[in-house]
Amino acid sequence: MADDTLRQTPEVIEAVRRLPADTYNQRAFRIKRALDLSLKHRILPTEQWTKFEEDVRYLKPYLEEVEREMKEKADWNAR
Amino acid sequence: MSLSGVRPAVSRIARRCYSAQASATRKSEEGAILPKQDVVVSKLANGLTVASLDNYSPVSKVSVVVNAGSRYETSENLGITHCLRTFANLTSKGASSFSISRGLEDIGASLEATTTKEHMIYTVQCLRDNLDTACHYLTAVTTGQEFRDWEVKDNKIRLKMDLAVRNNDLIADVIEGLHSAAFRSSLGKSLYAPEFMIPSISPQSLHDFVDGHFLAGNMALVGVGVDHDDLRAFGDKMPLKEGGVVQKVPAKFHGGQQSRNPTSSALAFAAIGVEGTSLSSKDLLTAGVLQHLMGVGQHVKWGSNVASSRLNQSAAQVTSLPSSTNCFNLAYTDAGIFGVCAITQSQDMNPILKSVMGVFRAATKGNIDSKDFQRAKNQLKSSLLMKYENQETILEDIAIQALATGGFKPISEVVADIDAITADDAVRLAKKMFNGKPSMAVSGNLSNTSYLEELMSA
Repeated sequence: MADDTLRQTPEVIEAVRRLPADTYNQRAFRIKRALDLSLKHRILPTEQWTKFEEDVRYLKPYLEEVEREMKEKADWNAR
Repeated sequence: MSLSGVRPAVSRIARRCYSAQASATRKSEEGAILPKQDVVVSKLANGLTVASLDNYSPVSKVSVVVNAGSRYETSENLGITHCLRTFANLTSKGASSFSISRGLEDIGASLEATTTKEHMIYTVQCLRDNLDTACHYLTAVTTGQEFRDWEVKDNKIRLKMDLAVRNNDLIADVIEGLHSAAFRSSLGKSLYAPEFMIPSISPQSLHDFVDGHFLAGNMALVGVGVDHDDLRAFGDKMPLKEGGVVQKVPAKFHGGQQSRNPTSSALAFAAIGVEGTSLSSKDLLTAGVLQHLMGVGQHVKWGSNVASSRLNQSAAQVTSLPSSTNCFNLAYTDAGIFGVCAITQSQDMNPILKSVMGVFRAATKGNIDSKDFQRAKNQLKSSLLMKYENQETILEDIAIQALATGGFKPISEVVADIDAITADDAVRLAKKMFNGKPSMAVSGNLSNTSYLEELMSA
């Protein structure tokens, strides 16, 4: 999914830390599977590709919350 | 940082107070003074009790008091009130955890969460003109808790810190041990979460407890240094859940019980108590007089602490080493415990406990000197009146009375009641209390601390 490939900025790292356990485990599995395929120079068979409906931005709400909190801190510190 | 959307429910007082002060200065030349106000207690349509005293103080204190102390815990959610008071500052609707601390700091205000065996108390203290902002945070913290997963997880370490401090405090240990032995459930529940429960406290269990106890009819909004109408307006705006008073497990005192906790310490600590008087009992103040007759802490700094303490006098006869014996009179809404907390050298605990029991027995035989009795009455009156000079105490007193009785008894009436107590009342109460079986809790170096039955039979 798209959110699996986000660049590890401090906001992303914090948002990933806040994921509920099941979402986090699924993400970890997909990343592990991708690394494994990458070292074997293989790709997934078509049936196992992520379907369009399943491709959700699961990290987006957490990421937005982290960014909002960091902005709030910055605003307070700028006063 | 502006808090858009916050209606200034309590800002009228700021203007009124300044204008009152301004006119007072002018009028004082003519001899007029600000009229003394009494405590006002009322109830809102949603069931919330509102109580306040406007003492024209430039510092205001507003509390939300809930009948949700440790006695309301069950064995499934043991320790939940400890968690609630630790997690009071976490993100809520309307204020993130960060903005609660910065926002309050910004106006020089403070927010405290206190748990007693019967109540949870959230108090903000601020300058009168900043009441809007402070009360906005108070509302967020008491009605909009979110208990976010990661915040709860991150803050569990503070529970462990509390436990580490509490485990070093052997006085707390014996007092809690005494409650646990004597009352078992209800008042016996500890104010601290047991270590094994910490992993199982989840946001869901926190929400469940709050939803079950933070109900409008089960809470009170109390203020000192605020106008009553303004406080009512603020209470009306609070998004409270509907509900009435939550039933509690009645507290029952069991005598002859004991709790024993040997630890590494040079000293021995003991708390021994008999069934006392509840807050609604007509003997409450008589018990207070008896307490002062026996001996409470120091009245004079660096004093000998012997002259007005029968307990210390009798302790001094059995040992020349330093020790401390204080009489306590703990009263709750439906039960009470009256006893002595003793801290002694390890080898002195048995003789001192026996001498304490001797003092109690002497009181039941009517052995109360009239000068001593008057001294005790004076000390009780003065200690109550001196405590009443403190805004914190006034707030707590109003809160507990408002929730327990829906009314308020002014301190002047209490003092008059104390004056009316006779030595016969005291002897009668002493016979009733001290002829009952005591319960005991001991901690520390127990090498010379016998079990309760051995002490009673000797």
